[in-house]
Amino acid sequence: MANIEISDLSMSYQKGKQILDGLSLDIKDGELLSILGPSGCGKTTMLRLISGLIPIQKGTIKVSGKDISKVPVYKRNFGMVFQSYALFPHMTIFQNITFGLKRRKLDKKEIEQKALDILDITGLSNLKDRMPSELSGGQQQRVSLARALAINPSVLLLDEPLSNLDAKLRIEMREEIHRLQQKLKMTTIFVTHDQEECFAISDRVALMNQGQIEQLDTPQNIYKNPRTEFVARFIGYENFISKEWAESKQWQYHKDIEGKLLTIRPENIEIGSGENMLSGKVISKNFLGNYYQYLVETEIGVLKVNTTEDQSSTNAEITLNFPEQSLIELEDK
Amino acid sequence: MKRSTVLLLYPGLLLILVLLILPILQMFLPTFTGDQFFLEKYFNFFRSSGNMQVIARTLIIAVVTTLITLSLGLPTAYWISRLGDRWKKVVSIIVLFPILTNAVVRNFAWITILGKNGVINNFLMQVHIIDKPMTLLYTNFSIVVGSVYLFLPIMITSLVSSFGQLNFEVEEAASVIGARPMIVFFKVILPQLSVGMLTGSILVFVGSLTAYTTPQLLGGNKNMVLATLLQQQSITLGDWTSASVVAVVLTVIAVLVMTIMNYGTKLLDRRNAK
Repeated sequence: MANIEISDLSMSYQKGKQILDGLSLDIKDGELLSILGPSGCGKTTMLRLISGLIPIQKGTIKVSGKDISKVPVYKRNFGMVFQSYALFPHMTIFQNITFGLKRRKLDKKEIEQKALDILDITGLSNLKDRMPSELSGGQQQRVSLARALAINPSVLLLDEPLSNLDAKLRIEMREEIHRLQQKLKMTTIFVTHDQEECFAISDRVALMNQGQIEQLDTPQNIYKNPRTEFVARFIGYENFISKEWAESKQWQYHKDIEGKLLTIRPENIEIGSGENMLSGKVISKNFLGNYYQYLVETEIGVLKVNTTEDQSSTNAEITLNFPEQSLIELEDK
Repeated sequence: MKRSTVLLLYPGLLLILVLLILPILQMFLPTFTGDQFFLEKYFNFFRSSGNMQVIARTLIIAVVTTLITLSLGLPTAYWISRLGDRWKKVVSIIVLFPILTNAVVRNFAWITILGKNGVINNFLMQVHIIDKPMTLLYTNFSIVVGSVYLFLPIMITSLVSSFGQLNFEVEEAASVIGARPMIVFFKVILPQLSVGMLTGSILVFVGSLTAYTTPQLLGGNKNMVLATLLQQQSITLGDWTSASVVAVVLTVIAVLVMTIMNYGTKLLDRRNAK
């Protein structure tokens, strides 16, 4: 088991494009940390630097206190799961799983026993003699996970492992990853662009933007207290209000950090009166299944309001209330 | 298929019957007829040590050519498959370029390179590595050189398409769980290329087995292969029956080798598809 200390990691391609920009991050032993961000934010590059698939240009990565910058990829003893499953197409499931074990100095009996154990805990025992192309996507990704875990890695790296699966399988597989990670207490880094799957299983989330970490926090804190406008937008805050304007109206809001902008989720704005009120006119109403969404034109622009009940109709003049605890101040960036 | 559509096949089928099947029968039949036992002509052919030498030379040249094109083709194809899309096209065209030149022209180029007063001998004599010219031309060596040059583009092309189907991440997955680069190459990359390697090998092997121009121009009269022996028997000596015997032997070898290799490809294919 291992903890990881990443400090001042930078990476750029020849054309001068900065992929990672002085990034530092500590991952605790046995923790499941997600790296969340839009495509191109550098999250996959970071994972590949940790795995050793690409060499470090600047900065250091320490695993259990030891600098691994000079350790070649095949000696790091990590497990990795790829988006494309990346199974060995010419080997059976059993051979796929024993491949990593055979690279270690173990006797035949031991290899076989370890492979059978891992097949058992991943529920793949009945598929061991099949070829990868005979398996469904979900089964293939399960094999890929089993192959990574078979070598008893010190760190498990997951590179968008659920992206190629359909919605139902994605939830099933995410639970499976979580279950195995908890069972084996393995330090895990999970790269994804999907906030739901990341919030569901992570101990902590590092939200990345343009090669830097915007916020590192528990899923609950990121959801409830985003620090920057980027984080707020990424996790579904859609209404932004100038703090100066709010102060001029003597509005009360959740003060935690110092900035110029306030934000609130569409579902937290109430239709009716309360402490922070603003009137507006409904310019559109949409039924979106489990909620209604109204676009309300106000003196500070068009706001999005979601309610579970049908509370108004197009062209109606309404009063909106912004509950103090849901109106969050953001840091300038 | 509709009857009228089937009708459209007849002209083509007729052409094949008249111009391919009948001539082949005409070639085959005389070798089995006559006063003696029906295989007597073949016994005679195989009894001659000269003929056996020709068969051995033909097979050795084909095997060596296949192995050399394979080992030269693998790294080249690997490099090409990793190029960007635009460069991949450019390099592929350059690789195929020699095929566009006439075989006779190409072999004459080798004559001027390998000859007694050729480029190689002149150079080695000028830098005083040798004092008298080496015999490079009109040897088995020169036939292999010419054949490798002729068939390398074909090998590279069939390997490139095979490399193109490889998934990068599969190699990465292997190295993350502990495989050194050599292991990745031999246990992960090479097995996935087996079908492409076999296809390329069949094309090169059968091609060099039946090649005529290259062994004729670069091998001379002393180093005969089956194809040049056939030409000698028929055109030079006018002994059409003996020529037919050679042709049948050549055809049987080619079909046999192709069948075996095809069977191998199918086995591997099934393993990959399973």
